[in-house]
Order: sequence, then structure tokens, then C-alpha cells
Amino acid sequence: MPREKFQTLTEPMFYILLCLKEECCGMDIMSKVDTIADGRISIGPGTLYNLLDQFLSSEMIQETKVEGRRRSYLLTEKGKQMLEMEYLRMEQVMLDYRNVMNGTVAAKEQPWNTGECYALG
Amino acid sequence: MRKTKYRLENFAFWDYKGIEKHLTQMAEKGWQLSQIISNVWIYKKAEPESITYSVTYIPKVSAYDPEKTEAATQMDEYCESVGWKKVTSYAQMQIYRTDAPNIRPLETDELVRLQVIGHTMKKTALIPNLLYLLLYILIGSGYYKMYQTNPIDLLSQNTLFYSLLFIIIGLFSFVYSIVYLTVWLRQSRKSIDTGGQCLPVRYYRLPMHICTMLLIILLVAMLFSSEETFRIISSIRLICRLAFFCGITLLLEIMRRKGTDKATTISVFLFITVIYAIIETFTFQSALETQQAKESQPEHTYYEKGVYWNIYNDYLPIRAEDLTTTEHQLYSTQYKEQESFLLSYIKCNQSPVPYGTDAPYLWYEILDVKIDFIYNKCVEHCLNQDIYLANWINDNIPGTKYNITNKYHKLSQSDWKDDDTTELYANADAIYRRYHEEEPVCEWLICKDNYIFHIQSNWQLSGTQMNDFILRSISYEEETSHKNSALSNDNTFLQAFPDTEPDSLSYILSDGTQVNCFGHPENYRLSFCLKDGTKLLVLWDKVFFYKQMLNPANTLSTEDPSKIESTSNLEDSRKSKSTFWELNTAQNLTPQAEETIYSYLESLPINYDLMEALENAYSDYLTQKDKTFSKQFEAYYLERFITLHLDAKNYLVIEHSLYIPNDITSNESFESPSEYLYFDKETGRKMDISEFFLLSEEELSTFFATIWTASETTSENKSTIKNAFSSDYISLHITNEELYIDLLFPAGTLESYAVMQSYPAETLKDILQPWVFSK
Repeated sequence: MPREKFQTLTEPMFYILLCLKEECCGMDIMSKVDTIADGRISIGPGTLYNLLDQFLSSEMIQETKVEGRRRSYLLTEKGKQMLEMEYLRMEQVMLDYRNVMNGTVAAKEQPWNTGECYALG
Repeated sequence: MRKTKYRLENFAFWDYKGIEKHLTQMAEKGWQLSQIISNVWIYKKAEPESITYSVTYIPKVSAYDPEKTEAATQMDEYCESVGWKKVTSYAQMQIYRTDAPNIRPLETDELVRLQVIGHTMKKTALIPNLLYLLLYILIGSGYYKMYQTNPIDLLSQNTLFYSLLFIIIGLFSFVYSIVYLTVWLRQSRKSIDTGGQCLPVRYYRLPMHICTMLLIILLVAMLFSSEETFRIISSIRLICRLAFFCGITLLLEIMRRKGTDKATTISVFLFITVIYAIIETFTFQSALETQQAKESQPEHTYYEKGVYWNIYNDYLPIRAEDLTTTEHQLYSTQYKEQESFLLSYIKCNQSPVPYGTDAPYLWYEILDVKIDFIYNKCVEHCLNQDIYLANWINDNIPGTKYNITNKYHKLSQSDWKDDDTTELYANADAIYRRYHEEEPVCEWLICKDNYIFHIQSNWQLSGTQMNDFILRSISYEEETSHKNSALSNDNTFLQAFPDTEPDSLSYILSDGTQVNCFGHPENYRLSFCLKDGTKLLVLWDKVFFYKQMLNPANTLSTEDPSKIESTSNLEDSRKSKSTFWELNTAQNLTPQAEETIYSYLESLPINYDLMEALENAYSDYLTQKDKTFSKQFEAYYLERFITLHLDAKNYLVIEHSLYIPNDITSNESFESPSEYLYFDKETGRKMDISEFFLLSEEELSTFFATIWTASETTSENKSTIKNAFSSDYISLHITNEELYIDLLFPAGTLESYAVMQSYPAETLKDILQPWVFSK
């Protein structure tokens, strides 16, 4: 499983991890994401399953309990860090945006021109 | 109306878009997917409906996992919670459907989808395909090695050639699918990076379709171009293999449904496959071998000096008689032919029977190379066969050092002495001769146009003969209709008498069947044939032959009537009777003695029952009549030898014996003990064996009884032997240049069966006449 995709989190990843701040059943994640993102982001069941599988194998989340077919997951320390890093990155993005828009910093140093923001995978 | 439809689908495993679209279209036509077993997709009849299908993959699951794995169940739960219903799954592929128009899509992240597909394909496609690739490379390199060491055999057989094509097509489809997948993964990634989706799989199904069609065409072509027996065996093999694949696939499917765990499934799969492979290889290999052995059965067997020789009677395009003059009649001829699109190969062998005679012997191979670029390879192979053989022996038999003593030298026109080879050199492109330790042997290799001729003989072929050979073989090659079956290859002997009138010497069998007798003056051979030309019995008996010739009531048909029609010729042949009886080598034989001996030999009674032999042969013929070789039926061969055994100073010993192999197919034979006849060289008087001894008959009986009982090899008592003794039981003969005295009591004379003692004459010197030993 390629690791590079976790350097930055895609939106679906971000929201799934966000949902798992509290223990949550896999099946409920889809509706929970809908609520949190207010319908702006939707996660398909196939994508959800495969992402959860990837998170589990890279120990970003852990399985907390199995009730019949319902499996619940919770964010690990590592997962929290990843989420935190992503949050800081986005905060930096916003800060940079404001600085440029207010004319505090020259436009050539805009971070989205470095390509880092687009490294999606 | 059918309720179920089975279709062979050749979608790329990762082509989710193609599969989704195809399934939706099928549902619109009223066929809804219910199950997938490998390439067979099963649809159930339903009302035409607009259904959205979605395909996803779980990399963890394999084809050997049970249907309901933890992973699959989890995925199903998630999907069902948002309205996707499970249709079926096959290995990693999971198929869901929905009829709701606006539903959350199964996959919402193209990148995740692509990564999952990449991971899945690495597991399913790459590893097994790499194994196949390895296998194909191994087989391919085997063929390449064969091309290097035995190109003629490889190229002249269509089956081998077809196998090669199979491998090429198989290899192509594997390489193609792997390369295509790699390119698709890379390009889809690019597309996603710029905000697009996974790309459609456009160029996969058509090439795979073509490959499949080609394989099927090849298979059919291979079956139909091969020989009949091979075709039947191969077809059965093919059906068995197909049945096996279907069976194992079904079994895997059942185990999957029943939820058997992966380890068990894989073990069962491997076990059954290995067992099947072993059974198939063993069974069909032995079936083919049995068939081949059956086909190469000799037509009959020839017995000479205690050894059986196989005699084949195949049609040959060129015979030694075509090139040189010979009076030898009986040959064993073998013909082998192999033909493919690239090369036609003929191998012929004509050896005289009995073996070891000086009659011309001819062995040749004719190669017709149909494609130029392999011609040089074939020539090179023919020229270097000795080297290949040496290398093979040195490589495969440890501890041997085989030296190459044979080598081909290219001949130029000046190498031929006293022979006009202008025409030959005008005809041939190159001529090579084989040398054994720098001494030329009678083996040549001639290249002409697209032909290669490889000739071996026991006489020095002249340039004209070689040219004749080339012209004849080319004209034969061109008349392909010549390539006839064994049936039309009637025995040459029969061909000599096409229309035989029944007024020739004839015999009537007990059921009224007429058997005609034909003679051949060159070798005193008589054939007894039915009216349709079927030969029942061959008789080689000079006495019988001679009597028939002398009897004016018998008109004997012969190959060349002029040889026997005129009485002067008959007289001539009588004059050269010493050749006839092979007495011409005898020294100091007076003319009077010669005449007397001839008369005696001519008057020898026939010591076998000809009618009985004919009846036996005929009843055997009747029981074998349905078989295809009935025309060549020649189960019986009867021979009487009368040969000069010993030429001493005063006397001759002539051996008279009978040989009857009464059933050649079972190799049972009967050879009577030899009878020795003694003649005085001066008068030609037939001598009695007792004349050779100094003792009287009475004294002889005492003498032999004494030494017989003294030799401890028998429990007979002395007086029994003495009473049973007769000087007729004594014979004198020569073995390895030494004289021996044999004493044979025929069956019934002693209480036991026939018994014999043999004594070197030297040890009996005291009782033998002194002249017995003089040469």
C-alpha cells in the first residue's frame, strides 16, 4: 500500500478520520460525514470500506468493538497527529491566502504554486 | 423461452466501467446477471428494467476464498445501508445493483478506486501471469534448442509447429494484458491527477477476442492436419482437458459457496491438478506409443540363421533397381514421411533380404524446404549431424569421449573420375560426400533449388545415377498423388504377374478354392496365390522347382516368359546345373560324379506336405480376411535348403534341411534337423555313413553304447543303446572348421524323447577311415 497518500489527506480521508474522533460504527460514518460536511462531501460505501481498510493497516485507526456485523473504530494517536497536521496545513493555507489578499506577502511565494497542495496521492 | 443464459465474457478483470455498462445493457434486454464462474457469466431472464450496476474490488479476497469472507460481508453491509444490493462476486470483484435513480455512488474517490484496482491486479494478474510467462519461456526455449539441434524433425511436423504457434499466441495475450494494464494504470493516474476519472478500457476485448479465435482455429487445424489415429487421441485428450477445467472450476465454485477455507481450497485444487496432469500425461503418452508401435509393425518376419528379421513392404518413390541393374528380388522397404507448411521430409530405406547379401542397398532422405530462410539451417544440420551426435554422446553419456571421424567434403567436378558429370553439375547446386577418416564412403548430400537429397548406398553412385536420382525424386515430389497407402503397394512379386490364367500350375483346396503357383527362375521361389492375387504361401525349394520345370504338363508362369519358354533355354539352365545346386565350388569333382549327384538331388522326395501347408495358410487367411493387410497376407513361408556342406578330398557332404515358420505373426517356427548326404567324389555314388568307419555295424553299436553311457549325461543303460543303435543315426558335419560326429536317436527309439550326442571327429580318429580327415 503506497504511503505517499497519507502525506496530505484528501477530503474524504479527512472527514472519515474526523468522524472517528469518537468511537463510531463503520456504517454510520457515511451519514455522519454527510451531517458534518452538510452534504458538501459524500462518501461511497466502496470508497469507505477501502479507506477504512487502509487506515487500519497503517494504524491510523483501531477497531474498538465488534457487535455482530457492526464494527466500531476509533482514531489512534497516530491518526490524531495526521489529522492535526492536516489541520495545521490547511490553517497555514488560509493564513497565506489572507496575507496575499491583504498584500502582506509577494504573490510568488504563494504556497499553491509550489505544487504541494496538489500532491493528492 | 429460456430462463437462463450462459455467456462467455472476456472483459478485462479491472474494466469496471465496461462491465457496469454491459450489465445495464443486458438488464435492459431482460437478462440480469446472477452468477460468474470464471469466464462463464450466468444471466437469469427477467422483465426488461433499467438497473444501475456498480463494480468494486476487495484486494484482500482471492478466488480460493469462500464467498462470504469477513471483508466481503463488511463491504456488503456498507453498500446495503445506502441501497446497493449485492449481485454476485468473483474473486476480488464485487458486483452490486440498484434500481433507484439517485443513489450515493459506490465509489466517490477515483484515486482510491485506482489504487484498489492496481493492488488487486498485482495480486490476481501479475503473479499467475508471470508464472505462465515463465512456463512459456521454458517451453519456448525448449523449442529453440530443438531448432538448433534437430531442426528437420521440428520443422517437418505440423503438430510441433502448431504448438509453437500456440505458445506465441498465448505469450502474446499474456504480455499484452500485462502491458495494457500497466499503461492503463499510469494513464488513469494522470487523468485523476488532473481532476479526471479512471480511463475506459477500450483496446482489450478485441485483441483478446482475436487471440481466442486464433487459438480455436489453430486447434481445429491441428486436429485436422494430423494423422487419423493421432487426431482421435488428441481430440479425446482435448475433451478430457476441457472437462477437467470445467470440473475443477465448478468444484472451486461449490467449495467457495460452501465456505471452505482458503488453505483447504488451494490444497484440493493443487492436489487434483497434479493428479490429473500425471494421469493425462501417462495415459495419452502410452496410448500414442502403443499406436505408433502398432503402426510400425513389420509386414512379416524373415528367419535366417536363427534370427528374425523384419520385412516391411512400403512403396518407395525411387528404388535401387531404378538406378542400377540388379537381379535381386526380395527387399524390405520402409517409407516415412513428414510434412508441414515449412518442410516436407521423406525417408526411405531399401535393404535386400536376406540381409548381408551384396545386392544394392539404398537409403535416402529428401527434404523439400518451402521457405528459403531455413534452407541453410537444414543443409548445415545435415552436414553437421556427426558433430551433433558426438556432442550429444559426450554431453549425455558420462565418461565418454566421442571423436568425430566422419566429415563431409564438398565435391567439385574434377573429383569424379571416368564419369560424365556435366549434367549432374548443371542440375545440382552443391554436392557433398561423406568421408570416414579421410576415406570417402558411399554417402552424399546434394543441394538443388529448395531440395536437399541425402543418399547412402553400398555402391559407388555414378554422376549419371545421381542425376537420375535427382530428376526422379523431383518428379515424384511434384506428383503428390503418388503418395499412396500401403495397400496399393502390392508386393513386387505380384506386380510381375498381373494377369494370371488359371491354366498355370494349380492346386485345389478341400473347399474347392483354386490356388495357383507361380515360379521365379532366378531364385527358385514359388508363390501360391489365390485368384485375386493374394499370396498364401511362398516356397523356396529347388527340388520342387526343378521337378515342376521338367514336367512338360506344368506350364510355369515366370516374370520373363522368354527365359523359360524355349527348350534351349531350359537346356541351358540344365547345363549350368552346378550353379543350380551350388556344387560349382566343389574341387576335383568328376563330370560323371557331378551328373550322378544331380540326378540324386533331383530325385529327392519332398519331405513336407505342401497341401497341408496350403490349407493352413488358407484357413489363417480366412480368419484374417477383414484386416486391411489381407492383400499382403503372407503368413507362410516354407524353405528347403540343399547346400554343399563339406568338400573333402574324396567325398562331399550335402546338407538337406527344411524350415517352416508356420505362423510368422506369432514367430513360431519349426526347423527340422539337417539331413547330411555323403557322395563319392569320383563316382558320385551316394555313400553310407558306415563306410566312414573302420568298424562293422555291430562293433559300432557297442562302441557308441560304451562312450554314450560313459559320458554321464544320460541314464540310458548300455544295452538299450546298443539295441536301439543304427548307423543311420550317425552324421558327420563340420562346425567352425572342425569335424564332428553326431549321434542322434530319434524320438521313440529310446524310451525318452530324441537325444543327441556330439563328438569331435579327432577323438574318434582310431575308428574312422584315414581319408575322412584329408582335405
